[in-house]
Amino acid sequence: MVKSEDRHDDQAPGLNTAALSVLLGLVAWLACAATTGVVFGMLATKTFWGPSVQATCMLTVLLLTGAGAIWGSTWVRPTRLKTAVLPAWLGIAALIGFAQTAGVVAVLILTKTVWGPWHWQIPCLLAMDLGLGVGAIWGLVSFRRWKGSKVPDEPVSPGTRRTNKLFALSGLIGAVGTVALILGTHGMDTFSNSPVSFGVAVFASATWLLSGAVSWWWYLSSDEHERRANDLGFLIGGGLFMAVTPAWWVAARAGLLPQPNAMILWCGFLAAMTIGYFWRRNR
Amino acid sequence: MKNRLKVLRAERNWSQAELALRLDVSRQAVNAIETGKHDPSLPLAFRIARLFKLSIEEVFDDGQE
Repeated sequence: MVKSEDRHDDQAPGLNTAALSVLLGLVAWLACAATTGVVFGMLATKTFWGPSVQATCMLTVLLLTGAGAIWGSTWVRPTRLKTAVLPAWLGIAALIGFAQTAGVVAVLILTKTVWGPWHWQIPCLLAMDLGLGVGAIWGLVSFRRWKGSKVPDEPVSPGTRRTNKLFALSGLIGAVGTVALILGTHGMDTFSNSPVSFGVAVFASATWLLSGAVSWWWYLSSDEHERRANDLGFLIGGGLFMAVTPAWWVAARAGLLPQPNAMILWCGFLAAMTIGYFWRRNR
Repeated sequence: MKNRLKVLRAERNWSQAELALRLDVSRQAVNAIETGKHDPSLPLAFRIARLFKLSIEEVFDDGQE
């Protein structure tokens, strides 16, 4: 059987694959550029702090489209075509992701709203921009290992297939709860501390608890390498949470910072855990 | 810990994914073991040694001797 590392370089790039890679790159570039345009448009029209649900959805779709197109470029074959086009698109994505992050933070500082209150779109936008930048940089750093490492038809062990399904199921269930919360809070108050209805609270809580149970099932059925990566992620995220929470709490009591915000702490924990997990898993 | 996993795999013309399939682990796990970034547990080390019909010492080297 031919090794997966050797499967792709034995043929010249066909017209279809070349066109596809250029198309994916253009889609990624256009999506990222359009995101920047929308953000600057919102700033210019002073709707940045209270954008409509439609604008937020459009931003989300654009960012996901850009990230998806870049991810799609990783599957381009043969390998030497991929190695030629992918770094360029990743570089552009990193630049746009970090530039937008810096822009949003700068606006928050200039308008003296960096400590809140934030509309729920702001942390989402920051997370997506930062995720795009960090993801692109991570892709560039680990690019050498990507060469020939992803083959669409490579065999996957039954255990890995099962854990992948459980991982996706857990995320899907959690997303259902989040969507229920968004739909049940009239758009703007999703991540604030404003009251929610009994039904929304019960449904969202139940889905998140179920998602946690499926995550535990995923953890128990994953292989030891995956499990250790998850352990490290939780160690880093938990360590950050343990250090930051009391520091913020006591700083708030001294009047140095506003009251601790559970959602910001949760986002920080999740980001640190995810970075630790993927670093250990894919380094 | 050093190991001969990459050599043994190459001798059989297996890809990392194919070895992962035989060991019922992820391809990332095989890659991490091969590059010395992950030391396998004792049960997995036995599975690897049995797959190649070798002893553990013939696959893994802790550098003590």
